[in-house]
Amino acid sequence: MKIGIIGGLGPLATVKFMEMLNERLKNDKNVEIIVINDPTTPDRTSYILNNKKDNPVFKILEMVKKLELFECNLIVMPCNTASYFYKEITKNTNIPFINIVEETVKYLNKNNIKKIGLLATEGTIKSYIYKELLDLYNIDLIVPDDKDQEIVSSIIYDGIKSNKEIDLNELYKVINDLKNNGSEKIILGCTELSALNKIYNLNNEILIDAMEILADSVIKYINHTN
Amino acid sequence: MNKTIGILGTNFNLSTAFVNKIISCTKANTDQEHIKMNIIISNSLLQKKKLNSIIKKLENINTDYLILTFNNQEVYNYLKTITNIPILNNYFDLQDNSFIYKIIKLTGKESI
Repeated sequence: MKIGIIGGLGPLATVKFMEMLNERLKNDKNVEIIVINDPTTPDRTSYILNNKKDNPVFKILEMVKKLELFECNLIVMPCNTASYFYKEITKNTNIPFINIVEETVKYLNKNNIKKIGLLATEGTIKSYIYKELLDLYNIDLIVPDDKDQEIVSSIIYDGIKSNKEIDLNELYKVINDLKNNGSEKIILGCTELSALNKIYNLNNEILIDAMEILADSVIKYINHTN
Repeated sequence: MNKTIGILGTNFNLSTAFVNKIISCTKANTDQEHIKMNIIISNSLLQKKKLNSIIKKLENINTDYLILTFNNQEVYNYLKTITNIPILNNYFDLQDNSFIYKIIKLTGKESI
């Protein structure tokens, strides 16, 4: 079984996702991992907020083609915002593709969660990729207000992506605000935040990690196929 | 200069730890400043038929350098006969930070 990973979105998230997979696979000799890691892929949020910026879909599709060359059985992409391009990706390949956003929403539905907070990039929030799916399951979405979203975006871009120090208290403040606004649980809906969780073990029961869900989905797929 | 490194590994833990080290040691304010990598982790990498196939594919997708995250002199010697892609190491030691800095420099990036 060859698992193909569209990587570099961002690179830290990619390697943390590889760690998550490894914890579950435990060096399974029957599984091969192919990662095409192209961090030069244009920023997804930049394009979603301003279509005049470079479109990341071209580099994403290039990575898909490369994974096809390696005859992968499954493709995954540890990036929530890039799921905006899900339809383009699945139109351009016959290889099964697991969508991190879809898997996370299905998880929420399965666990009867009705009010969900979302920590994500502005691109993810403003493109409604979570909202559209959540609406199908009648799950209410609670997003940070503008001030809190600025904090989240800064943590992602000025902190994690820039490899600079992060004030976790700022993140906890946003989490508390979402909780106080009625969130039963809160999605870590940016894989950089998942990477942060992996490094610092935020260990907060209210958090649902979309990247961990994606890793679980890969294992389910492997087991189902075997 | 935007070089791409190919990483061949037989052990998932080691290969992932190595990739993590490269990323942690690369100076970058944005995702786009990091190194492009094609990473293949497979238990059957030590078989010649498998190596032939993988190397051909890595050549097709413009891999500039190869790095092995395992130690096997026979495989190293064989690889040298089947590809012109420069192989940066014939011995792998995860603790060798100087090798990480060498890779970062070769790919045109800066290290922290």
